[in-house]
Amino acid sequence: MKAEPFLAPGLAWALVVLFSVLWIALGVAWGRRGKGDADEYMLAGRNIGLALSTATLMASWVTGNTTLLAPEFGYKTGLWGMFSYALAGLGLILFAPLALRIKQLMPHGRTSGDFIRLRYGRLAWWVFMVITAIYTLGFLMTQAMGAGILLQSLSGFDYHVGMIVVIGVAMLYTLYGGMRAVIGTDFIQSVLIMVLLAVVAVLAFRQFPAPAVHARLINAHADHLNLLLPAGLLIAWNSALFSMGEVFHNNIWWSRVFASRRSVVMTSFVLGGLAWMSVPIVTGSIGLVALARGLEFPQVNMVFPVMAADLLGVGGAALVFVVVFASLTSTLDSLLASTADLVAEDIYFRLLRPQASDAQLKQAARVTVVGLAVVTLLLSWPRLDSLASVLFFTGALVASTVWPVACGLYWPHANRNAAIVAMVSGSVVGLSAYVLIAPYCAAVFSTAVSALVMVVGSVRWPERFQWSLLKEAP
Amino acid sequence: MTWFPFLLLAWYVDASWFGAVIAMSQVALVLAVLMLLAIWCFEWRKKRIW
Repeated sequence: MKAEPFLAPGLAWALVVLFSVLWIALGVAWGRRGKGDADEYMLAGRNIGLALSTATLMASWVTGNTTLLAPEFGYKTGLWGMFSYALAGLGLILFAPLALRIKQLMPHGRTSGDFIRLRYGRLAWWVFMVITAIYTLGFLMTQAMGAGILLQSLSGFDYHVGMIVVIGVAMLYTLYGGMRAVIGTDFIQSVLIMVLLAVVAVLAFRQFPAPAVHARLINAHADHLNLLLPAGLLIAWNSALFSMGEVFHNNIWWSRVFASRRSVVMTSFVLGGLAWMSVPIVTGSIGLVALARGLEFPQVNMVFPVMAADLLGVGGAALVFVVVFASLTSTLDSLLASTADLVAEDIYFRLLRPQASDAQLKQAARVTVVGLAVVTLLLSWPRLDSLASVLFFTGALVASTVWPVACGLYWPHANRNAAIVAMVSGSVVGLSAYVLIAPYCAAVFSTAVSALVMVVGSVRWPERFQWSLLKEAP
Repeated sequence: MTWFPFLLLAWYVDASWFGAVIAMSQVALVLAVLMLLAIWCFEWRKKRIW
């Protein structure tokens, strides 16, 4: 396949400037709304409606990987590759009842760290924060490196220039507009991503209809159409559990719970998860078209851009460029904002300066947004093409938090020491399974061990937790 | 479908099901966009966006 960029650098720069100016201008404008206090900056005033709440969940969950890795899964593994990636939407759907419970129990809560500290104590909080720090840094780095690599492949940008542009734009509108800017731009970005993906998919299958794709696959790659493919079933389990770990523990999703209106919070997680599931299936099906056409790729994660450019010409390449740019900025802004909230609330305010004023807390969140962007740039400066495997490594860690979080929300007997041991032992066993058995076993083992420890420990040494302790004043 | 005695080993999706999966995923994506826009319009009229 051709190695030159799919899009002329001039056109790519025009698109970057157009959308960067749009995101920053909207972010600054939305940032001027509301009371201007810390809750406004960190949680958009805690009253967002169903449309924005659903869209921000979708946009944050559509990462660069969803548009590039899902087609690779479809190309390499077939139908189960697409379905297993789509099962990551279960994380959002299964979190929906927990989201409502969080909203009821913690009317003044700001972060997932708040919950762990109040429910299980400071030691559990430290374990949790280490897990979330490793995961978040890994996630930030994969998005930053993905930005550099993708913009270079799509349009010939220098790796570092592409990375700086995407992180810089996301940082600027997050810095000035806070969570309101993140959620507002997420709505536009999610609509843009879905419309453009639908256009690419419909046009692709008009040129190469589904019956023709099926006929080619059944002759040359029948295993790609096998619904009982053992590896596919295992990957699907891992994908669902990994996503549960990601959603249940990470402050991206908890911040959306606190930011949303109570009456819409559960519905938005269900709708967001269901709507998101169609994205990897649609992008994954493009991978099947590529396979049916007998195309081979030096970089298999470039299936989607290559196919779009090949089938639809310059217009297709431009559509993919916009989809990728919107996916990356919508995920990076969420990561920057919610991680800044976590650092400002949990470390600056609750640990270091409990006497800090509201204005100082808001300023701490703003400084952290900039600091995180700079740290991400520095860590991502040396290009590592194999970082995706590092991110999968974190599946073992985050999956260990699923049961401590779920039990802690519903079960007054859930024991704090059991939660600590569950997170540590689940992580250790999950990492061992990753190394000794296979990467796609990590989350499964981690969740199973964590569940066992959590339940046995809490039944043997039950606590009597008072739910009112979670209603801590801000 | 491929059977080992009493055990289903492989289940290949036929052309009609394959076409249905592709079509349904595209329809779901379009419906998701329409749903978001419809909710947004409803909430905007009620001034319940933020």
